[in-house]
Amino acid sequence: MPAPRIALIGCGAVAEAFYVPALRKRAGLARSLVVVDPDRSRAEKMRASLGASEAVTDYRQVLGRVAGALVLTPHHLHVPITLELARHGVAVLCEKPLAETASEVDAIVETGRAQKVPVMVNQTRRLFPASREVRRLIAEGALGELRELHYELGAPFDWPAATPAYFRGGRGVLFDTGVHVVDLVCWWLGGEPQIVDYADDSRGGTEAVARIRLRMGGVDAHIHLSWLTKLRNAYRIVGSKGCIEGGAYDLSSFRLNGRRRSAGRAWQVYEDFVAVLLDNFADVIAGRAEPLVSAADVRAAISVIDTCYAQRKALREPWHDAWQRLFAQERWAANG
Amino acid sequence: MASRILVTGAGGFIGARLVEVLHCAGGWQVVAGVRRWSTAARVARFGVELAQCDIRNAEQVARALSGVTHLVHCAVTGDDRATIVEGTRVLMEGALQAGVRKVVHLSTVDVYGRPEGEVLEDRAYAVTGRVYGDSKIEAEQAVRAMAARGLPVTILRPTLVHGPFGATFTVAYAQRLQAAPWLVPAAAAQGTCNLVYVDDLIGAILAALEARTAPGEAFNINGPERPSWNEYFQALNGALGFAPLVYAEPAQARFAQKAMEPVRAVAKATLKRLKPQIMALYQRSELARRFMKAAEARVRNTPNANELEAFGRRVSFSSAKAARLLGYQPRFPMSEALPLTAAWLRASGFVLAP
Repeated sequence: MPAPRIALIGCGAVAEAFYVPALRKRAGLARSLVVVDPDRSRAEKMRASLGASEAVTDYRQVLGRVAGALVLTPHHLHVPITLELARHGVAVLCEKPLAETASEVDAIVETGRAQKVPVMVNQTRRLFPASREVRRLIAEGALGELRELHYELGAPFDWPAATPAYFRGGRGVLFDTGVHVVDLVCWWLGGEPQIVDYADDSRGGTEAVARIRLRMGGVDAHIHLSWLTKLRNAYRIVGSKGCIEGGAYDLSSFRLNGRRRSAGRAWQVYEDFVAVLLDNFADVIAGRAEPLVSAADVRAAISVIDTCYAQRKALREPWHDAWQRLFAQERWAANG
Repeated sequence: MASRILVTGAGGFIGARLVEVLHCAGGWQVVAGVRRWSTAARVARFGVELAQCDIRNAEQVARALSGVTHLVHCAVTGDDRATIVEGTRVLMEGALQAGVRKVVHLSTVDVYGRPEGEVLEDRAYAVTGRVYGDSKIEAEQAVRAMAARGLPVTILRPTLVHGPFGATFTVAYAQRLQAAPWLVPAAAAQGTCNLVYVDDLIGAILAALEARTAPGEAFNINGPERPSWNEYFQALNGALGFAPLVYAEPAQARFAQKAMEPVRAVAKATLKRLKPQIMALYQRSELARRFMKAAEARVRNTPNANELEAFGRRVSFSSAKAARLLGYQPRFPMSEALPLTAAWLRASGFVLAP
């Protein structure tokens, strides 16, 4: 069966790092691609490296000519591009985070429904075998009544960004990295938790450290995120009958009550899951499968994140505020 | 109208802190110069203007200096001579062309080599064969040549800068103290630890921006105390709330240090040649991950020969000239600084709460 014609929109770092390696192993799909980037040289370079059919500079040029599109643009373009594609009957696989607000997600879901086109999201962590097994165990009651959930994810920001777009718009680590964790927590707990407390280190700009406390039923969830320092990068879920502990980058195993439990093949990396997603996207376009993660599936996480920003409090940072001692008595009142 | 100030190296330990303080203090229009956008996460919290400024790139430098009245040069990249020397040359030439009113160039006391006794600013440069210190000498010479052409530049030579976000003299020692065994015998660490808290250095930079001094004048910037290294280790250990240090026997420490030297050399060479393969293995195998983490911690926690030499050396870098001509006044002794550092180390996940 021939591969569907798909557009790859946005030839930046995420395309290079994750999609290109997966597409190289899917020659049929790669050959049918229309590569899109406003920077023609970037688009042309990626077209050539994938053996793709065509490179263009505006995504509107693919409307009506492709069955599906991968939206790999900077975050703030996800919503307008996804909506326009869906309105023109193009199926979409969009990178996370899909949107900033729940109402934007609703608009995307509605448009997809009205036009009868699927809209999917790459929430890679949902695809990890460990994540899926943890969800199954929670749902089956293996931990008894859930009480606590802790998740820490942090490392110095090192994404090879070609522009400062990540630092504009006042949405930082919670929006970019946190969407993985918040989505996972919502998915594991089976709904949208209440926000008990949210604080971050934004001082008029884009936050780099965030702490969230959520509550759902009797479960207290604590999330700690950082773009500045390496955190424990691990999770712990405690119930009345047991405890799960796992590493954020251990994709295939975790510990259940202290004993290692394998959830799938070891030797898996991020690109493997992008490959799974691409296959699913092709099947969804052909009507052979349901989306692994649909736009509607991520609504809870987007809603939590947006509400967190609305309730933002400042983290206490005494080491920062100490600068005032330099001006305690005198002299540097004016510069000159 | 606010003065417009460019800080190079704004993604680094000192540059980022300077951006924060200038922004919060007000009166400055701050431009945070970064080589790579990814390093801007810390300063982006303040909503300051960001500029891509690889100091080796004359075009980027000229763009970043547009409309700038003041410049503080904090950018360095480890042992990269090209950046330290040629980058400084490009930046200072750009500042001269742009008519910048005042420049502060951050150097280091490493330009004195490995001195003993009291060190004043008239001590001659000493080339040691270490890339960082030797390159900083060349950079100072380039700055002074530009000062001779009329650039109003002041050179600051900070000692060992510690505090939140400080990798070398803060995070590394905190992690070693936590890891145990502590492999620095008390008797081997009686040399002088010339510590200056990062905010004191920021105070010195602010003073230098304001002061009228001869172009190319250099100033040592040290903290208010001269503890021994051992006193610093104990004070940091205490601030972190750890149990009192249990010292290794000198023979055990010597053996650990000597045994680790070949391991360190092999690891460095292997990583240099096979980094992508090693990273792939790290990502794919839990067993490999555990082994590498354990090996890295062991290497990190064992002092090397250079460190042991420094721990024993008695030297004091005088800041008297900076006090006299800049009005520099350090305000953060260890008793004030280390509780702030400890709070940051705990909040950032580097050490666990006691």
